[in-house]
Amino acid sequence: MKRRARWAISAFTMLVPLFLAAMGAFASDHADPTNLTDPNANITDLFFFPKGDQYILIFNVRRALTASQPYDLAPYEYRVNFDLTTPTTFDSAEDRARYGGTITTPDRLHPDATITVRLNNDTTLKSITVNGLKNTEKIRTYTGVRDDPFIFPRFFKVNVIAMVMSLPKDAFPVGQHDFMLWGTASKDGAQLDHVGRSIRTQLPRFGIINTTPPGDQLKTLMENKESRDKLYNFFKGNREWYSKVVADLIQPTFQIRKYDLVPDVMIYTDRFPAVYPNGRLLTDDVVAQTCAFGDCLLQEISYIEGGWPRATTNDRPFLDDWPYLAEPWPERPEPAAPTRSILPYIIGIVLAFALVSWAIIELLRRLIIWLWLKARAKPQAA
Amino acid sequence: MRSLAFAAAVLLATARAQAHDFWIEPSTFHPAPGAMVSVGLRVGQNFIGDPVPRLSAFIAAFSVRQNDKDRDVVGSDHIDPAGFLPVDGNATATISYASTGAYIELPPGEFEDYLRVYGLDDVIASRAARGERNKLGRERFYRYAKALITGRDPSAGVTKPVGLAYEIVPNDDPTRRFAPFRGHVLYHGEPLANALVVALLHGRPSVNLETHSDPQGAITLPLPCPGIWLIKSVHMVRASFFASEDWDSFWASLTVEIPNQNPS
Repeated sequence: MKRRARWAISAFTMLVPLFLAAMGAFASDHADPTNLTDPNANITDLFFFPKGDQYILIFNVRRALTASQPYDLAPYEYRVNFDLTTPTTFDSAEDRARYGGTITTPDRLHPDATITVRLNNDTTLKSITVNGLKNTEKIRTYTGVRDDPFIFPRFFKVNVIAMVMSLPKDAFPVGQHDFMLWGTASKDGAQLDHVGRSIRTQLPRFGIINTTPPGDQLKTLMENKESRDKLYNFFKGNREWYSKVVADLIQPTFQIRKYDLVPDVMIYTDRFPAVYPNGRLLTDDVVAQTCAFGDCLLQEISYIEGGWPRATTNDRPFLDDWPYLAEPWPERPEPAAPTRSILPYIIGIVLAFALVSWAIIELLRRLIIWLWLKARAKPQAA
Repeated sequence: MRSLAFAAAVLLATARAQAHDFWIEPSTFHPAPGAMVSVGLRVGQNFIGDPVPRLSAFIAAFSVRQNDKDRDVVGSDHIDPAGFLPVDGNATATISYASTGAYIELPPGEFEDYLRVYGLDDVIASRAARGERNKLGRERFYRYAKALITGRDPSAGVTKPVGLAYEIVPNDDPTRRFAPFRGHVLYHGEPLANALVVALLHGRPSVNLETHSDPQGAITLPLPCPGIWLIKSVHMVRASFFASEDWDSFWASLTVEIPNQNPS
């Protein structure tokens, strides 16, 4: 019994993530396959907070960077979008704690203003295009390699490619209190990555909205919720314990939760102090704060990979002044990529499965022929 | 073991709830266009209810009709709210829920009390005529709940049955203006005469209106004020000869927010 149980658990823990991998084929932000397939499109952070008569916008890409220049940045377009008009309310304590506010008409999210940045391969600014904002000549920009500001052990002692902008408050419409913003990374016109509120698309269940505009994300989330709920309800509703084990594996990692049905944008309002999730400060311990309202995956990993006590501040001090991000870590070679391939294993399993299937069918075929011949032979003998 | 305990708790809750009202309570009756509405199921009395988590095994149908299109209300088992739906907000939408039947037995006295409370005097008389007054009340009950979500425009769709076995159907869209509630009670699509229909006002359990349907199944409830109203009725028929129960009961409810003035 023990052996059977162990086998079933192993099978399910292997098969279910494989089966569901398609759902999370596109993840986002620091820990995500985009990094593995297209690391320069991989967005790592979005920060937005007020500073005097300015708003500071920090948009980082290329996680775990330690290699030296040049990089392959020229083909990529990095864009920050601002929705300044879609109504937002702040009456729901739950939404404020989790998302910074409530978007009352989520299907109408749209960019009223955009800042599009292109970088040279040495991280210098190639171009910046600002649409929908005023006084753009007063926008100050920094681009370059800086320390990764994410307070998370896996990304300590590594760098990112940073785009820091200081936007004068008068660049926005007079009396602008509420902001919704999100960042995208694109190549050849195709969007590859998205970031809104921190640690949203980084979670496996949200990979599907990585290439979806915020105005369409709710529809996408609902469609996925429907299919994943059906899968969960099916496994959970069977009497066998191993079926319930599958359901319990699906629920925490892949199922769209009741509080997930919200587009992924960062909300900032000057009606309340700027602290995550009302915008995001460099010093915000977003891992702990996100865990406090329901998503603890990164909190767990920070204990698994980090020391004791858990780090709640960055591994390098942030600067009080421009460009605010900490100094970069010294360059060093990036870890060598694995050389082993999983393909021979997959081919072997497929071949073994085909061979066993063929053997069973061949045995059945021979058995049927043998029985038929035997049945035919009997009357003749009589 | 924990799953067994949970299942037992659900079954017990279901059993205890058998003589209670059942209704749909959306997170809002006035969502903005494109908003997400969570759909809670409630069981209780006097329009004060406990949440009922979704349980697929007990759901025969759970859908929403908006712009003459039907779609399922999705949700995860064992979770409250039981469902979620994006509303386009163009016109009034109708959420409907139908349960699979659940069996319950009640001691004779309790059963007759409950029949009396819900105006099922014909069943009391039938039991008496059959000499069953001292017999256990063996019943299978079915829940049929509807809720109207206010949209920008009225919807003629709310005046059409959604196909529930027992259903309260408004004569016109009641989400548009404060007026007496007029509608029909339909059993398997046909008007049902002499059904007791009760209206309860959310937050004010003392406000309680009753009426009986006329021979055409028509009802009029002169609601005294705007607000969120629960309009409900129970119908009971003799079960088929081969059934394990003696009676089948059908619980219809309609929750709707009656506005003070035209919402548009």
